[in-house]
Amino acid sequence: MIQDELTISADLLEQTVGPIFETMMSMQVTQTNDPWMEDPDRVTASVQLAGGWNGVILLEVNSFQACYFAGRFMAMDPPEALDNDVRDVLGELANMIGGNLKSALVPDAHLSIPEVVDGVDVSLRMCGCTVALRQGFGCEAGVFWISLVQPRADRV
Amino acid sequence: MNVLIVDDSKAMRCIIARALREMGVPSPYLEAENGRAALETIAASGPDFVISDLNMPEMSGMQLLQTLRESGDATPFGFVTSEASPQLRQEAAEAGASFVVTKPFTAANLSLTLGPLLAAIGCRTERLEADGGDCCLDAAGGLPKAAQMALALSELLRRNVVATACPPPLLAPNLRIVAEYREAQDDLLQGCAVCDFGFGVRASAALTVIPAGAAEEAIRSRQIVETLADNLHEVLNVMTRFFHTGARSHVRLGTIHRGEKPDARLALAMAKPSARVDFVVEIGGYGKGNLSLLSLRPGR
Repeated sequence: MIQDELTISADLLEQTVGPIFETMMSMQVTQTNDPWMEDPDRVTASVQLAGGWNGVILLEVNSFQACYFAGRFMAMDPPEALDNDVRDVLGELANMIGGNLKSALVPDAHLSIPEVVDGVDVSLRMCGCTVALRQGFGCEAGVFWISLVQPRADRV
Repeated sequence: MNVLIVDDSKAMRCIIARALREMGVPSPYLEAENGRAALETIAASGPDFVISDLNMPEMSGMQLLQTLRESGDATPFGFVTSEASPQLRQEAAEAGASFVVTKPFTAANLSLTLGPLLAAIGCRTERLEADGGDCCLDAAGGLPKAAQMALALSELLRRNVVATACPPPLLAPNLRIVAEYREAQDDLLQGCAVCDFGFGVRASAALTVIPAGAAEEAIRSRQIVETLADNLHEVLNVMTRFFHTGARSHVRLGTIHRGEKPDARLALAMAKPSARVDFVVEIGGYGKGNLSLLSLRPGR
């Protein structure tokens, strides 16, 4: 059965994201009320779910956070600039968030290979989709964002 | 020790290798970035066991395992994946996987899962030696100690779990849940888990963060709805690792009896287990329940 809309609360998202950051990077994360804003220094990792629910899960960070997370994940000094190891770690984080949400909410969906988009002149647009949930999380490296994007009701 | 790590993420290959090092598994470790590359490495190097991601480009972990088994290759094989739903665990077990570890994981969690397998294939690691040589196996057989049970459940439920050893509880058949564990190849009964509705329902609810109030209602009415039943299967599936008999053995979760009297043969075996451990388990935010594991293999 395909769900048109996935119902997920910020609390459930935190219960999914928190253990991933704690286990893989020994970092505490908490929900914030910071408003989301465009950022030219944004790195976005995404995974798509298809089947039981169709949509995209986005992890949005800045380049400092991307390098910081990579350093913590790999237990090494943070890389000075974005490289493929950093993209790899962000993709893996998106994959873990997507995989854990999938297992809890839509186990019959298929999870895509993660994608990572970065650059100063990049815009990301998902046609016919709407942001169902966008939640900021605070951590020692600042605020990052996780979003659930799904097709608009008139496009389902 | 010849371990092959298969993952399209270099970062994850590093993390798994680091966890194996922390466990004391001798290196070097072989690496492959997808199933197709892994097949070539396996043909060339014949690893002692394979740890693979599931979701990879070119050839998935499941396709890799199926290809190996179809060719008659019985190399012990397990998955490390972020999407370990009950359905997927079932599919993995049917395809011949020995274990499924859910990401995120800690070295302790990987150790708990891999310990019996490593011991069975003769891997005497420094850490295993320090733990007494059998990793999670105690003197009673393959059954866990309280701390190991707590670790297994806390890793699954992602919340604080405390297990305390206790005397065997008296549970009426209509108030308990009994899960059978059988060797996949010959269907021989290896053991069973017995829990009260309190543990079964609370752990099942905690798995997907179903509110504690709904769990209490289900315990009162002894009605386990479909979602809770799926979760219960997942919780009880975690116990299969404690009934493994060797590297080539594959124990699977069999019938789950919920409030029904088991058949006479099972009841007889349960009356005279070769070993047993009994715990009161407290699940953070959900409450307590009784859980017992009984080894039913003769001669243990």
